[in-house]
Amino acid sequence: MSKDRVEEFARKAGEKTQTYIRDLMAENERLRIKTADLESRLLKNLDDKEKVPQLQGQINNLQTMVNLLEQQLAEVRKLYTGAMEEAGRYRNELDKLRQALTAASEESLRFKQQYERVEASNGNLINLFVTTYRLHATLDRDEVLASINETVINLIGSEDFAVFELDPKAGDLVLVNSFGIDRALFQRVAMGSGPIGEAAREGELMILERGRGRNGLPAGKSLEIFIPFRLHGRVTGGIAIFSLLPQKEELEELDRELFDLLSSHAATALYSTRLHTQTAERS
Amino acid sequence: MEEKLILVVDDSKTSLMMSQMILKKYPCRVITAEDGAQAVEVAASRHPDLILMDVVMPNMNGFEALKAIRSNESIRHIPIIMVTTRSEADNIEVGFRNGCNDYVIKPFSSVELLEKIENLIG
Repeated sequence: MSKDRVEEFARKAGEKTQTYIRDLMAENERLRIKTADLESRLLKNLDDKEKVPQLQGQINNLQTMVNLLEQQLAEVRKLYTGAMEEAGRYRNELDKLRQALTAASEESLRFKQQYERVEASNGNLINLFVTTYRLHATLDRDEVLASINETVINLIGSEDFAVFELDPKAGDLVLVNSFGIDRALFQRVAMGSGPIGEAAREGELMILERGRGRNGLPAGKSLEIFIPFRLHGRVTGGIAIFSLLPQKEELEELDRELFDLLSSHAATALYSTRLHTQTAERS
Repeated sequence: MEEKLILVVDDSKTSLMMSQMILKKYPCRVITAEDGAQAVEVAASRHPDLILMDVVMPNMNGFEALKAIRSNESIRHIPIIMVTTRSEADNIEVGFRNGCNDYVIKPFSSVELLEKIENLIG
């Protein structure tokens, strides 16, 4: 039984009992008045000796009824007290159950949160594994570049980026892949020049707030994220991200791990494909 | 639980691999297709229990494949979840207009994807 129902029951029982008690007391009072009246009439009619035994009988009957009603009243009072005590016990029981339910709900919520954390962690590991696997499962340069693109689009969440590799002879960054940009405007970037060149020269992962990227790029683009490709401490290229997808509200820990992973593994994978090509050409 | 057959359609090998790994947690076998045309073909021959369909693909995109599947009497009942990198309402509306059952937006979490699959074929 719910707390509300118990309280409603107790309230109604109380009201009914009070009404009943009031009615009984009124009846009691009425009978007393009637008794007093009869006694008075008896005194007035003392001379009418024939009526005395009859009236005395009526008085005795009424007195018996009064006594009976008083007994009933006492019993009803006792019942009422018992019902109130019972309601109190129910209320306590209900409070205990409510506390137990709250504790169980909290426990359940903790388990759910723990499950979600484990699942999120599994999901992150899958992302990292797939990225690493895709980068290193091939020595085909186009495949590696495609996997970099797919990682940025599908796992990081951007359709507005450019991938550069360093031309060691010229010292420039050369566009090798992209998505959502006019390639002609980003073909070659001098190291240290402009937002991309500067970020590449700094050689550190650069993450700026959404909409607060470095300006000064063609087509009104601004550089929000730069992931340098680093091999043996040298910058060999990088990914310039100009914007994230609208639904990507904020970067998460996984994104930073993916940036780190791309920074080292993409560089290694691209380097491996170059070595493989050179070896193949020699033989 | 009965093992289900799920067709994953995506031209991105990374996405295909991701979905396959996530689906390892679900009692199912996974088959793949790399574009919309291939998806329609595989759906007609293998009758999967559910299709996870990317939107942007060469040859035939996800919406065209969705239409083709919904107009084929023998496979029109198969639940289809559209997978898109674009969250604009237009794309989602087009998907529902053409009869998709649900959608997920990349990048999605494994929990989200499995919940949607469970809702449709669990």
